[in-house]
Amino acid sequence: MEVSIIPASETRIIIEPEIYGAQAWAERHGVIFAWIAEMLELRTTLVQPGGSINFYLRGRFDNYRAVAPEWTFTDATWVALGRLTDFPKPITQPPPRTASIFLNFQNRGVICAPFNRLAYASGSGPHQDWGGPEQWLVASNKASTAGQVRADTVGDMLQVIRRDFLRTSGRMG
Amino acid sequence: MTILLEVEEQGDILRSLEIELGDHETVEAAAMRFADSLGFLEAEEILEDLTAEGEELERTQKIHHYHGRRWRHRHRRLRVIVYAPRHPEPREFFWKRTMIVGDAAKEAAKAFGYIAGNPGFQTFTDPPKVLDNAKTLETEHVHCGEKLELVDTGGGVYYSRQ
Repeated sequence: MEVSIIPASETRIIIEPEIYGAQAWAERHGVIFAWIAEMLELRTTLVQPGGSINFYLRGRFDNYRAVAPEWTFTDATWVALGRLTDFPKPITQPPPRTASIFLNFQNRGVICAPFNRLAYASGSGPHQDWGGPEQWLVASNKASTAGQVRADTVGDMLQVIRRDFLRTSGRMG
Repeated sequence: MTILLEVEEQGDILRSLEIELGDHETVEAAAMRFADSLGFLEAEEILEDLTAEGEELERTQKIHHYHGRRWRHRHRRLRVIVYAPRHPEPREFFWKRTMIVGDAAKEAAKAFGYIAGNPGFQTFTDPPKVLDNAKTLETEHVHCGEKLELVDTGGGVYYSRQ
């Protein structure tokens, strides 16, 4: 499916209410949060429970909401993409805790959820079965019905990523 | 006559409400009117603990039987302040202690406009804890006045290696 390009100015208008909610979320949880509107880029810094290492979570929102955003853990310069050393290592926990959304896929860290463009095959991710990232809301509905994770606003995405981040220890690689 | 009902929580007045009632209406009928107006308590709950000037009210008595026009009910529900990641402002809910966590989360999610997903609650404790959707609020140690945040409880997404 061909995806029309949404002008950045329109995306900024579309995303603004979600950023407002996400910013309130970050304040509630003491998470460092920066929205760089010109770049349509969101930067947050997370610290593991009892830890001291900063993990740098970056979201990019070009063409949002026609296309899923791009989420990854990156380095302190906010540039690197998918390095295992930038990703937190999940701790396996017994039920009812569910599997982590942080995945080592072909030696690359991936936040494996329908709301992440990088989880799709076209983004070098594992999922061919979801179609393209422009079908992310359909994929989200299917995943949700199957008991898998769903998040369709910026704040909800952050909350789910932090949910699983709190069940990590150290680095993935 | 005008009856004032004060809903008490741990010594504080949480809500107060005045309604006009006929002298010959029963306490039970009054409790039903109050329950309808409050929207978060059932008449039976109100009747379980209802006093006027310290005197316990009997459901079958007419309200003119009592001198007190200022009634008080100590509620036994869990008042929970729920946040949603998509919304800056919280909402307040009054749930029975025996309510299943997953059902409470669905009710809260619906109120915040979620239309799909597997909602649950995460605490504001350090570290935060995701509550078990299959247990009751009481079993999960939710206390009155606690703050919780909605979180999707869906699992990570595996993929086929085939």
